[in-house]
Amino acid sequence: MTRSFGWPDLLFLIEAARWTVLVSLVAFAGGALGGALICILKLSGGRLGGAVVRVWVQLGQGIPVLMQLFLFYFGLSILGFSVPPLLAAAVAFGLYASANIGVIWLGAVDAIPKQQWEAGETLGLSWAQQMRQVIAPQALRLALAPTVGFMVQIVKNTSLTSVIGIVELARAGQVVNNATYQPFSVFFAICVIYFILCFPLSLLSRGLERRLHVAH
Amino acid sequence: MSLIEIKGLKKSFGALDILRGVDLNLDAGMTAIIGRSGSGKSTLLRCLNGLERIDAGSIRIDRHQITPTQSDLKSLRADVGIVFQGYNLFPHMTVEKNITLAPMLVQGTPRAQAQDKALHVLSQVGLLEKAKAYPGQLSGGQQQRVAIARALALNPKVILFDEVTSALDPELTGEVLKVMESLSSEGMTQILVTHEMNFAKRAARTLVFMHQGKVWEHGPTAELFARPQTKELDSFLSSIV
Repeated sequence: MTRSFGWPDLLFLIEAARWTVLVSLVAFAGGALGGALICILKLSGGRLGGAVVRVWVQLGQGIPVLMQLFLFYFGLSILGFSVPPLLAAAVAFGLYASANIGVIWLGAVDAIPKQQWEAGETLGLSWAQQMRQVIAPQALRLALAPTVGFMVQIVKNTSLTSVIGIVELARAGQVVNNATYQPFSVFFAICVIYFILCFPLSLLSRGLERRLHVAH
Repeated sequence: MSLIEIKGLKKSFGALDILRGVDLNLDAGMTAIIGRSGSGKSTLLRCLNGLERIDAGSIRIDRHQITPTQSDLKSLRADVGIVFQGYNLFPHMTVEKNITLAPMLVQGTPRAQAQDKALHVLSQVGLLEKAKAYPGQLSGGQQQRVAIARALALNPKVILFDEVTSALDPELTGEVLKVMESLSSEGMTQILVTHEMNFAKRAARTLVFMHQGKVWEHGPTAELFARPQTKELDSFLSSIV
C-alpha cells in the first residue's frame, strides 16, 4: 500500500528540518565559542595551551563526525551514562565544529604580518588590545569566507545525526520515501529545503564581506 | 649625564652573536647609525625599545632602565617611539584612527583631544588633508610620514627610525627625510639606522659606525666622515659612492 507525496509529507519534512536547524545552531555556537577558546589558548596559553589545542584539534578533525556521534551516544551509554541523542549530537558537533573553526581562525590570525603585532606593541598596546584592535579585525576579513563555507558543511552534515535516532531532514526524507515510493519528488523537496537553509548563509557572507571591504 | 647609556649590551639569536658588547652614550639630537648589513644596527635599535630582549648588559634611556631580567616596557614605550622600514600602519583604520588609537587606549586621552593632537602631528608631517584616508590610498612616502605622525602623537622623548626610507624611491625618500630634518630643528631626539649617507652627513649631529656587533667608531659626524680612525670605517665610507 503506497500513498502519493503530498502536503502532509512536505509539512513532515519541514517539521523535521527543525532538528537540522537546531543541531546546526548548536554546532555554530559551540564551534564559535570553542574556536575562540582554541585561538586564545594557542596564542596566549603558553606550552600547556598549545598542547591542549593540539589534542583538541587532532580529536575534532581526525575522528569522522559519524564516529564522534557513535562515541558520545553509544559509547557513553555502555559506560552506564544515559545520553539523550540531542545532547550527544550537540557534544559531537561542538567538538567537530570547534576544532575546524579554531583552525580556520588561527590560520587567519597567522596570516596577519608579525609587523602588525610589533607596531601595536611599540605603541604601548597590551596583548589584548593588539588582538582586539589590530589583529582580529583584519583576521576576521580573511576568516569570513572559509568560516561560512564550513557552516554550510555543518548544515549538510547534520544528516549524520539520524544514526543516533534524530529524525532530521534527511532521515525524514527516507521515512517519507519508504511510504510513497516517489524518490524524485521527495528528495527534490529535501534538496530545496537544504538550499533554503544554506543560501542565506552565503548571502550573509557576501554582505559582510562587502561591508568589511568598504574600509579599503 | 647622557640621555641614553648602553653598557655591555649583548644579543644573540641562537648561535648567532649579533651584538657582542655594545657600549655607547648618546645625547639629545640626531644620531645616525651606519654600518654594513649584519653589523647589528637594526638589532641595536630594536633593543632600545624592548622589541628584542637583551641577553646581557643594560640600557638606560632617560629614566627607563632595561636589563636582561627587568624592564617596564609600557612606560619605556611612552617615551621611545619607533618607525619601521615597512611603515606598519593599520590598514583597516583611517589615518586619523591610526594616530589616535594609542593615545586613547594607552594614555587615556579623551577622543576630542586625541583628534586635535592627530591633526597637529599630521600638519607637522604635511598630511593634514589625508586624515580621513586609509593607508592603502597613500603613497609609500605618505604612509611613512603617517607612521612618523603616529609615533609623534604619543609625545615621545626619542624616536627610532629603522631604515625608514629603504623601501622608497628617491623622490619619496626626500619627502620623508625633510620631515625628519624639520623634527630635528624642533629639537626632537632621533636615532636612525640608515643607508642615506648624504642625509646622515648633513643632518646627524652624531655618527655611530657599527662593525661585527660592536660600536667601531663613534663621534661628531663631520669628524668621522673627514677623518675615519679605523680602516673598517675608511673602507666602508669609500665603498659608498
